[in-house]
Amino acid sequence: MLFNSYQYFIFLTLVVIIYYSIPNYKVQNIFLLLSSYFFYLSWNEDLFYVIIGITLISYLGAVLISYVRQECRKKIICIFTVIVSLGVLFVFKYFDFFSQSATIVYNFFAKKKIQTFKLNLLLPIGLSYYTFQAVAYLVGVYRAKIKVEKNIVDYALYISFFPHLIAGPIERPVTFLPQIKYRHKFSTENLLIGLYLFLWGMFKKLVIADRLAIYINEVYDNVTNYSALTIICATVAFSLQIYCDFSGYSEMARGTAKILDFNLIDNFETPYFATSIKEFWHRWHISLSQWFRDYIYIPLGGNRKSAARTRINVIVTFLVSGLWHGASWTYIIWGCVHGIFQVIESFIEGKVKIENGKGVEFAKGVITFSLVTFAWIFFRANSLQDVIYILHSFGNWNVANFIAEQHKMIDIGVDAQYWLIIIILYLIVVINDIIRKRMGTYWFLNRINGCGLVFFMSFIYICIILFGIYGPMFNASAFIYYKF
Amino acid sequence: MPQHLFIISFRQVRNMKKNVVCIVCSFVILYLTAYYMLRPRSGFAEEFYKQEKNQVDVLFLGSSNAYSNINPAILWQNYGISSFLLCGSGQPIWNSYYYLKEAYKTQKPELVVLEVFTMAANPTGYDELSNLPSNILSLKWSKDKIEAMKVSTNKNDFSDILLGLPIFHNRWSEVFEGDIYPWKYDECNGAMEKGYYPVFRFDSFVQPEYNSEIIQMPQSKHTEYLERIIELAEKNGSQILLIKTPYVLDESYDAIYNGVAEIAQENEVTFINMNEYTEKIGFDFSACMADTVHLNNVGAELVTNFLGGDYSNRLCYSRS
Repeated sequence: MLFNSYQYFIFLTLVVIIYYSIPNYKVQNIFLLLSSYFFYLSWNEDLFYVIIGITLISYLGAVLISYVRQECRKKIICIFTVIVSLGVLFVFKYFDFFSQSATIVYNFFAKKKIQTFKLNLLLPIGLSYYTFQAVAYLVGVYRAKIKVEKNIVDYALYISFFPHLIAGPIERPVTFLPQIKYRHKFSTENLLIGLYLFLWGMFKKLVIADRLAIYINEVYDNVTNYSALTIICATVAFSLQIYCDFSGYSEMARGTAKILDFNLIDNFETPYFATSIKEFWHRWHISLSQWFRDYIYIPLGGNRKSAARTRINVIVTFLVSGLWHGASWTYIIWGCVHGIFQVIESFIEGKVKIENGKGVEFAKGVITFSLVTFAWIFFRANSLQDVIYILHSFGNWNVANFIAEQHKMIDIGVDAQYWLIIIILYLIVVINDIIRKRMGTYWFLNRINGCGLVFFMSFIYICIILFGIYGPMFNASAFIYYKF
Repeated sequence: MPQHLFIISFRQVRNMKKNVVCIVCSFVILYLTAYYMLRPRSGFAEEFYKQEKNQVDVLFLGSSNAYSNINPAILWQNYGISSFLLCGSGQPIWNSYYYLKEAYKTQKPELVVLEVFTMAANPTGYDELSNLPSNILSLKWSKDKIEAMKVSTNKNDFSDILLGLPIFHNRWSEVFEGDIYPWKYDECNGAMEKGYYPVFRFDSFVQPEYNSEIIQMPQSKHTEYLERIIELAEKNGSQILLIKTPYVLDESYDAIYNGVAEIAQENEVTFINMNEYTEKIGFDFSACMADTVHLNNVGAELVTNFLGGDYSNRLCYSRS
């Protein structure tokens, strides 16, 4: 059940009607939990036991931690339950990858040919997200930052609340659990805000991201047929696609939650206006970045130790972040590249003092965007061989080939009109981001009046129904971050 | 409260309820406007609705093998027969059934002629999406239209077909003035007024050898709807005639049309496979075809004269 499907609209409408007609918050939570499981079952009927298992393990682990008095026992229980939770993630997501990599290394050195042992398990959808939420909760209870949640329904709802279940945001117990301790009442303002966020997310996803996907998929799925300039265009387009796709999903998740009177974390804060890689990661997939900061980077020592150790910590954190995105060398290299960028950046910052000014800020922004876009090559490429081909092709800048390739693209609907629509409509996203950056995150929403809101939402709506990529003529493309 | 968990509020928006109502109304109006402006104007059903009540004496149903291969102007001019081609591109037999149901709401044809080309096509059992606009979407809203949608599409696509815009929302670049002001264009499409879509190109073929020996029954869904059409026509007092206009296809098609002949025999209706009558028609495959299944205007004239002349008794109507 995709967010942008009719089934989801019907499901959400029914949930909202029943949810608000329940007079007791405990029953509301039970209903919301059952609805979330129903939503999850629509994706993963066979692997439902995984989410139940993770929920029970982390729930029992936290309860045990709160009962045990000795610090070392608390630690052992915490480590054990975290390892079990992450172990489940490892088995489903990484076992085959590591098994294959180990076999290749063994075969290379032993000069033998043994077969890779593979489990070939399907990845339960949302596993990476809810496992991280469970870990955040266990560590929070162990560190006594949060109280243990003894009500299993409330805890299970924290793990499986359907708006953030499939692709985040990765909620922290400290922000989410207090929100399920009172009865939620219907509010027209919440409905209006929720609808606004949902519509805005849908615009980014259906109109921009899915439209760009036509061009990008053609180039990256047949990369050897294209020359450097076309690949560069596709990579820049991918930067915009993944931003609109994932931030669009996040807005839709927040919109859904808001309709149900919940506030979820804002996952994106104008990331492409960042003037450094470090700032980019403060603005991109914020809930994940914060998770890695709190549970990988800081436990490794953060920046409290030597400069060299700090740099290693940064690279290790990004390497793990890359691995989190997918069990493939391309993702690992993507993470490493970002880690190296940050290390170089901090090194330059320490050595070179540049006076701030508008021109300098702009140049830094352009450089940051270029570096991030370059790194997306590793992220989007289908294989390492494709990455090698792409990097190799950068030695050959043939404009005539580029023009010929763009002419060929007309057959798949990528013509001047296609680009014109994208440029004009992406400008709306850019203007929105400029307002957010300069005037404040919710400046626009706080100042828009009733007429303006009706007009703006109607405009976004008509853009979606006219220019959106939907309907049976198109392949419904799931959100990019679902696969993680 | 963490940095990014700001509580959003519309501070300047007064009277939230009024705004929600305005937004919902605006969405509905915009949707209906877009639907009205973008819906494909296929011609067949729309022209049919313009016909005066009870003026169509012979109703043709079927695919482009009917609407390009039979010329109603010749039937009228030479035989005084008033006819209409209520067809659609690749019209599957189940759409023909619902078209016939729709036709009976305003017309009382004495003869229903069904061109059976698609009995041998459409292996999926559903309409091709690109053909949906001409086969279903131009029908007026009714219970029958929704039933037609159900049988024409798989479950996943049904909601898209029902809403319409998911099928044709990307037509915005090809909208012409007639989509917005259709009343200005009411008198256009002279040939299309009776559903005829002439083809003026030609392709030359060797006369195919018709194989009457091999028989293959059509798929069950096709058979079911063919029998429903026969039943519906009989119930409404119309005679029914099944035809297959000349074609240059392989033997597998002959086999299925022979199967159709068997069904026709079982139901005591006539089936004419014109590939068996080419000599009588005077049909020349080297001059009368536009492609393997469509006839050019010359071929259409011959076939129409064959139907109107030799079978005028069966057509059972003559305006003397």
